Amino acid sequence: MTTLAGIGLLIVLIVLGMPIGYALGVAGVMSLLMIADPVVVAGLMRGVVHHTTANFVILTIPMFILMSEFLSAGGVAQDLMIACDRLMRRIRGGLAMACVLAGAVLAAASGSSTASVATMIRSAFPTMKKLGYDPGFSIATISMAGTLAIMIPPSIALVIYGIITEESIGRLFIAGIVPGILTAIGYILTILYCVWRNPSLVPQVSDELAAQKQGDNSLEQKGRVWPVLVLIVLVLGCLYTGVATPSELGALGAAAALLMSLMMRRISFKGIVTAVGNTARTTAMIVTIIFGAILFGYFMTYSQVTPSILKWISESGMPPLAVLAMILAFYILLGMVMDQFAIIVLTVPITYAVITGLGFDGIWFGILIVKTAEVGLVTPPVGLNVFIASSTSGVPAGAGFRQIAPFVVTEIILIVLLVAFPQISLLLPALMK
Amino acid sequence: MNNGFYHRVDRLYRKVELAAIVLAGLVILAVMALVSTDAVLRRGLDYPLTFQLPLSENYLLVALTMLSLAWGYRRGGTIRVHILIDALPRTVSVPILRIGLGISSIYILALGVLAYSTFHEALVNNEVQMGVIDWPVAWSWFWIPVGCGLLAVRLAIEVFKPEDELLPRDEDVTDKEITAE
Repeated sequence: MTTLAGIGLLIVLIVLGMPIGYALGVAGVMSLLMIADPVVVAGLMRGVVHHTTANFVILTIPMFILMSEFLSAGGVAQDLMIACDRLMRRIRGGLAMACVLAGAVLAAASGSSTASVATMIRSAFPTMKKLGYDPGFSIATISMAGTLAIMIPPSIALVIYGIITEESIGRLFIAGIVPGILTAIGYILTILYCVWRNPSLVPQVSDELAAQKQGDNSLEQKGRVWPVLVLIVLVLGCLYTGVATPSELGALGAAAALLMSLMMRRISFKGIVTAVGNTARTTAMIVTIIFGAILFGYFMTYSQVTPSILKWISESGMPPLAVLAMILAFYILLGMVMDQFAIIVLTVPITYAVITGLGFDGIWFGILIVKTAEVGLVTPPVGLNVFIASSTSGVPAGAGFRQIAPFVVTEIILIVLLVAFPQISLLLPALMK
Repeated sequence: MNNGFYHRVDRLYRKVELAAIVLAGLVILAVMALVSTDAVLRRGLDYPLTFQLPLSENYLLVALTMLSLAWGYRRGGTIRVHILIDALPRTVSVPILRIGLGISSIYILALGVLAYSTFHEALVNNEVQMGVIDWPVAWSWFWIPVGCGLLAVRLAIEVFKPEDELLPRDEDVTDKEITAE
């Protein structure tokens, strides 16, 4: 009963518009006061902020955000988009596929899908529109490409999952590589399928090339992209070989991104200030949510929710795979109405304990959760990526959502594959040194 | 609080937040440089900076997150669900938002006050974390009452925000966008 009251209070506070980090903390404290001594509650509150912030693992968040911000401020991300277009321009729908490729490469330099979408929409959409790409299809492909950033390392969503569950962030990062690449391939195949079904979505290759020859193309690369690729390979290589911890790699990556942008004269003082400010803002937001979630987690531990759920599952005789399928379906539905970070901090303390209690692998589950979060980023009514693409491009969000459906089918197929073959996620972490 | 008074207080408080975020920004760059240097020296020359981990973890990380809280909140660093609030009439939704901000302010203030008691105890008892260097515990906790205090005051100021700024009307947003363009 107390558990239901606590969860109910949390839901009410969230629905009434209280910022999620504070709602978690307030609901956690109020609920704890119902079942624990106030002195104990005060003791938990006293230590929670220090416990959260004085933790070297937390450094991973600001450092990888800073790396991505420096690269964005230096305009490197835009050049990546353009280089990918060169690779794909001889295929029908090539620019849409280039967005997916660039999204995958950007994902390896950034943990933020929104930043990825914002960059690509600015650099690719005007040209797509000029060349005759369907506007809804354009923002749909760019929104999908942006979701790759939360799967391909360094993913901030995986860092938060790692902090909450105490799974190795390095292993989570490495586990995300193959599913991330598979997802990118899946998106490219989906674009090919959409173009085959409805050729009017994209221009003819000959028209596209002719327009580009006539200079009717605003895509102009301003700098080299290979230093970024070297940086990405180094970061992933060091992660895989265990040469440095994810926190150290974040710091090294950020420092390298800053030096690279300075040496290429592509970042101004104002750009550095903006990058650092954005990093501080996002870090503050995530940390507030984490310490709120920890307080609420104390309540869940006190109220013995997880053991009760596990007991109920074992008594019901439900097969573990059915439980997993229900949890994943729940995540997909939740992703349609809530932010992905919030979902992870709110639900993972319970679902992780249930899933690992049923004998499943925690790292594998992390990858599955992030995969479901990708769906939430592009499905109505929240569909953050589509709204960002829509507001920047001026194309109605509805037009984008209509073109998203085939990609969502691809995502569901990929989730089924990841569930059926856990080795897709777990092979690389198993080979890590 | 009338609108004029609110804006005067807000403008004044922004200067305090700005000072905090400048310090947080410098700490972010410092921790990036420090951790990178340590990683390079340790892996490359087998010459680690032994003070890096306790300094980064117990002091710099706490300072950078705590000093960013108030400014980060004001600059939109929050996640909230708008669905019901947007559907409710403004006569209902605005008071709900104000009450929510007030409760949030009290919650953050409570965290800050409780952390202050730990800071004070550690300071009075001269507590140290022993190692190659003895690190004073109090100054690791110092940033929490500071950061939580700054955020609690920001949230309290927001309670008195004019209605149209607290919950912008659709037409206001459109006007602003048009003006910006």
